[in-house]
Amino acid sequence: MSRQSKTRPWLWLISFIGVIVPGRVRADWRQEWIAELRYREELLADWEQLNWRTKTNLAWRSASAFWDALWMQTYRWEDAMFQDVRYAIRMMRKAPGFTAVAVLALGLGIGVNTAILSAVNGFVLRPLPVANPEGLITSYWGSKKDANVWGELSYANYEDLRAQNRTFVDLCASREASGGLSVGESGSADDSQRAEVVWGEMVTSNYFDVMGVKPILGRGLLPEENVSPNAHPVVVISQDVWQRKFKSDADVLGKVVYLNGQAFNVVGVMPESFLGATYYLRHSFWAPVMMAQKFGRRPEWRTDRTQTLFEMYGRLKPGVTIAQAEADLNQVVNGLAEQHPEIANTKVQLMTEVDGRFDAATKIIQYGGFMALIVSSLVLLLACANVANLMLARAATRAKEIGTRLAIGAGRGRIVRQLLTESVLLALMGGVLGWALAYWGSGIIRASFPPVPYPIVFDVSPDRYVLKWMMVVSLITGVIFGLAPALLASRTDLIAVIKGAAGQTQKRRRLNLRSTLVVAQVTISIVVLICAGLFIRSLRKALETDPGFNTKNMVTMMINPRLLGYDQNAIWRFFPELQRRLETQPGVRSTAMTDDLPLQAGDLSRGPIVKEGEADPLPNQGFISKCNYVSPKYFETMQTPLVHGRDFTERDNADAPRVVIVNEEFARRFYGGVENAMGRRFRFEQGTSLMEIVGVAKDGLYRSLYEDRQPYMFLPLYQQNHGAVTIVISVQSGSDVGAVTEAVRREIAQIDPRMPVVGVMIGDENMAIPYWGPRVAAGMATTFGVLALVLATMGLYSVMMYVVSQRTREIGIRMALGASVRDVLRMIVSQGMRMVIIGLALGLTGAFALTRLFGSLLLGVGTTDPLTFVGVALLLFAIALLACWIPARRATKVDPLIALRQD
Amino acid sequence: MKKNYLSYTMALTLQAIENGYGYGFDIMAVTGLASGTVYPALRRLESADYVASKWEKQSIALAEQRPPRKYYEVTKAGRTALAEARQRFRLLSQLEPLASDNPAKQKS
Repeated sequence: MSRQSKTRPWLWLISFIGVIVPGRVRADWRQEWIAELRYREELLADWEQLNWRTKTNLAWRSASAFWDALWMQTYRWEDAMFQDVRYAIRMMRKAPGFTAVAVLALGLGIGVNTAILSAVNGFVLRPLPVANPEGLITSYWGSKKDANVWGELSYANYEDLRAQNRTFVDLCASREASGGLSVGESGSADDSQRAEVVWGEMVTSNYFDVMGVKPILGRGLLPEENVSPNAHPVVVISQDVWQRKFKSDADVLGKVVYLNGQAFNVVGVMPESFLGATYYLRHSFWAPVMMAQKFGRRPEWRTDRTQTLFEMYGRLKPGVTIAQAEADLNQVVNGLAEQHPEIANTKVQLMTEVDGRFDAATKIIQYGGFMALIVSSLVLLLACANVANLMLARAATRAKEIGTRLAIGAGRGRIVRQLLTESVLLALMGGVLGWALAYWGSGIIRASFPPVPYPIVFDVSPDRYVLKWMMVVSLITGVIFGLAPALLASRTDLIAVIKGAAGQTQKRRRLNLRSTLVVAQVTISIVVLICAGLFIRSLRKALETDPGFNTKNMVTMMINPRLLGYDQNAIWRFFPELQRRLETQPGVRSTAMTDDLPLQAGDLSRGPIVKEGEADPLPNQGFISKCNYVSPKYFETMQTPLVHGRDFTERDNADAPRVVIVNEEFARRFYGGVENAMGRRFRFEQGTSLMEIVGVAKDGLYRSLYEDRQPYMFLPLYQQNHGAVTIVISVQSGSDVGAVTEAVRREIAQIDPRMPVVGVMIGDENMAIPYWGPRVAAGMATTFGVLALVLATMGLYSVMMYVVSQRTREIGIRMALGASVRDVLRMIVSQGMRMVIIGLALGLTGAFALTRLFGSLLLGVGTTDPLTFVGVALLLFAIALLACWIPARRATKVDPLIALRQD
Repeated sequence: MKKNYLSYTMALTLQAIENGYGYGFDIMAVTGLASGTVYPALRRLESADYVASKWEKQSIALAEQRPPRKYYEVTKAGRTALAEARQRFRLLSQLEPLASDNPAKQKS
């Protein structure tokens, strides 16, 4: 121990330099250096070299600690933050009630936002899992006149566009197709071999290159497979099919899958992430477009420029804008139109794949999603206002602490930073809670989605993108609700603090800010509540609306004989046979077959309508009517009355004269009346035969609950090539629907045991899709509304409690001087209600402005529905009154003696 | 995130630790690097997770009546980075390994 007493300048030096090392790491830092210098010293002593030279050297070496200490400066900023955070956590633990309320409010606010954003993200924003998805361009082909008719383009046009454009690296085309997929020969009736209905795409050979996806096994498609029809039955399968049907067999290449009865050789397997170009469908296979006939396309698909079947995707050359490419393609189109008059007056519109997802009908989902985001942000804003209010109240109680810190030399910046740290920490905790709530919420949104007979992709759980967004939102909210209170608090009057009267001198300004916040809260909650009210009313209207058919006791299911390789004649024999046999089943009132069920997002249309004796309209200019193909007894089964004429019969087949049933609106629009329309004839484009109107059906809703009355045609199923149909069965009332459904399935299996039956829906399930939108909107809006109401009430109540506590002394004096309980009640309540009334006025005005945006999402309710506006105003008024009255009553309980003795 | 490019100094320091020189002074001695260089290099290596530091057990230090020491060890990531750096700085391999428990010779 003798060494310890010696002078060791190097150890002093370390202690001295250590001063500049940030406090948090200082002790560690010093210990490391001291230990090391000691170690060195011991070694030197052991070698007996601890002479003056080595000592100087040691001291010199220890000076290098300075550089090290400098390097440590990077910890300094972190260090102060660490201190702030530690202090903030301590403060939170000291006020658990405040922390819990604040975190809960923020969590709810952030949670609803995250859930909504996840849903919107999952449906609208998430790009396809391809390389460089932003660069993927899609096209719409349509008439120059009618901006709303947009759609796919024909193969011949695609080929010309691809060959003649100068702005694209490459263009590819695809068309979704459904197929009955089996691994064994589809002739065998073994259950495991039964064909499974899957979706896939018919694609051009460059499709995978344009998409930018690589197969995990094998190859994509080759250019020679894109040359002559029906020559190359090859297929690329999805990883899912590979795993399920081939047990992930590495030797799958060259093996055979049967699609619609045709053998295809597997040439590649796509990665799990790639599900095809249709963002909402899970595709299972990709076949060369040249095999289109195997997927039910007529042989003219290649050459007929009016057969618009294909989606086109492309990648622009570097430096080319979408507008330039659009101009380029339209130039090509104009050139083509000169040679091919059938495509006159058409044009191409280009957009990115994400923008291109929404045509006019589904735009409502996108629009609704963004509206939901707006409303949920309002709720978040409300939560922020609430927490800001809480923070202000707390700043008042902490005035003494802050004053003391200021008095002993803390800078204002330091105080503001401290308080901001606390609020950001609160926000982050709220964010974590919100994240959990969002997971739960997106589960609910997902569960609410109705069952559909398609393999849809509907992943609404929050992903990394949402997480990032939510973190940013949390931080911003933390700053929003923390900044004003922090700035105010840091301006504490030191003299007042020292005199022990902190929190009273500036209560004026603080109260003003708090009142403003309450007014804002009332305003926002009114707006949100009115939205909720409108959507609830809209849902009730939707449920009351008569769609023009009756789903009670109705069972529907889908079959597709074409997937088993039936040809058209076999199908035409199969359907009437099936219908007759199903009707003999006990409990079945009537059955029918249809192409699309109404309101199920089916989108058939034919046109232009050319009345007998009239000339063809100019290309792409006539009226295109929505339509559906239905079997006999459709109207009876759907319980849609025919107001005139007759139903289709089995004799209305391909050999019989063409017939059509129209709805009342059609008859009115084209023939001026129902009676007048009967027996009249019209046709579609050139080359189609005239159809006679044999019946007029009552108007109904066809595509969406939101649509206006519109012309509609029913064409006979047996006069049209058809594969996939929906069977509709109307069950006699009193029969067990489930049992009848089973009997029907058994009967179908008896006719053809291989026939896959999908999408069985019973009764009200058939309305799940049309009611989904209004239901979700009403559910969300109600959640938001209740949240908004609770948050606003909480805010008002806490401010009133604060007011009462601040005015205790004054109230005591008033009561001592003879003020009655009623006077005091009125005084306090009117102070509170003044804020509420201002908020009400602002909120109602705001709602008038905002609800206008919702017009297209509401059903049968005006955006200024007086019942909703008045109802919501009264509800809020009543609750606010209560929130003021309780604190006011407390004020009247003040004992003047005690109040006066205060201070 | 900036790329963790190993400078020659850092690579040399890392190699020294890999060779068994667990303290700053040993490293200085064996590499001959200047005094103000090794420690910042160590800190950088540590913040890049190429080396991990460990405090010696209090009991050992107490028994020997000295403050506990901090040892540096090369992590897995550090080893990968070192292998990479060796490709670039071939001289690194010439750094002598710690042969036995004998401390490195004082050079200056």
